[in-house]
Amino acid sequence: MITRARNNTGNDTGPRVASLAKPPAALGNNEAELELIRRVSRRDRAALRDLYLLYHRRLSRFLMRLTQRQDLAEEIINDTLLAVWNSAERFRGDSRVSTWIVGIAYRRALKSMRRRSFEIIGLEDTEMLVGVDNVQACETQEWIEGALVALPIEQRLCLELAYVLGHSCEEISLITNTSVNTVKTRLFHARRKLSKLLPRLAGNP
Amino acid sequence: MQRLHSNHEQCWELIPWVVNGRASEVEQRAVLAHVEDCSECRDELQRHREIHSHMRGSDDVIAAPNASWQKLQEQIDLQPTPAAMKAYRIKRPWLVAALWLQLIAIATLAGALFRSAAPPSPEYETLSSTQTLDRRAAVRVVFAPNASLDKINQLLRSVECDIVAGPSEAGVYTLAAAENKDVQGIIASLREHSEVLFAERSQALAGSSQ
Repeated sequence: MITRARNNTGNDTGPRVASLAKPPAALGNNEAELELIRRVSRRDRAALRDLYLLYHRRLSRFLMRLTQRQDLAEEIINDTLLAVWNSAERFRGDSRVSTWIVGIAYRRALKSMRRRSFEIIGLEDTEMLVGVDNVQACETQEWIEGALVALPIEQRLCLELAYVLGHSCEEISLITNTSVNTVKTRLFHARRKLSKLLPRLAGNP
Repeated sequence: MQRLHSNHEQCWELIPWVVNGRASEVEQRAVLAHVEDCSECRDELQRHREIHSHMRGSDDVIAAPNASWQKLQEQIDLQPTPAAMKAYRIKRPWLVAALWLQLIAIATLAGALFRSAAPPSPEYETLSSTQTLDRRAAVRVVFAPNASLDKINQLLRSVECDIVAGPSEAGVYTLAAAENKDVQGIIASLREHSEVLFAERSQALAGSSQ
């Protein structure tokens, strides 16, 4: 069952203020999660269930946005947690637990998306979608989503990791196994493209 | 467009981290102060607040993961146990070695079978062959140092032999006798002459390399 509850992105500033004030709660308590990982490494299924429930919500939000398919999102979540079960004893705590687990999910999602050739709308199509004549007819939500879908997958994933899961630049570099500069470059290009595709969001006519 | 602040580039870069709350308080204050005077960064901040709000607001979470949890447990149960995995890892090198040995044996047998099944090489010689085999019997001879060329030619004609190789470093010539000739008779005949110091039957044929 999917629950969809989108906020109104009109002039309501409530969520924005909250997001500026503190890091997102989605990052969780690393110490508590580390303890769960230790228990999982001792083949404790109750600990795995706790971890599963914790990450199911976080990852499903991230993966549903990417795949738009519940079955696929569920499959990637289960693959990710199975990998956690099988390799928990090798996790040394060099990074946050969330960075490690999201990194596994990221690689599986990327592989799955490339394999299944998701219906990523080409730039030309999106330009048509958000063209001057069509802008008036588009809902803002669809307009933003269309622009995000038009981004190359690596650029979009950086933005999703930052905005949906609330990761920092350094954490994204660990998750995606790339340098910090690569993350910055991907975000730079994504933002440049979004500023062209979404000029009205900045208050332009 | 206004770029009044000296750290415009830095502030522009920090905007996503201000929006998602991962910028430090100092960075947040710097960016918020900068956007007061910089319209480009103000627009960018506004745009990314909208995008962030949209992305965070789309609460597409999958409720009631019990069925998925059951599926994950089944996946775990279907996996080999750690003990079985360990045993498998121990057995595996032997299995790989056995497979390689089997492969080598099969290849050897197949090679032998192929060689035995292949038609025998033809016994004829073509005109284009670079080296035809001289099947005449061969005799090795050492002539006396003072033997004249005429005398040697005369001797060779008398026994109907040709020089086919030599002299070697030891002064040995190889003679080829005509086919069906009595080689022992030729050798005996050669030994009767004082110009011949040594005459013996060669083990190899006249045309083969020695």
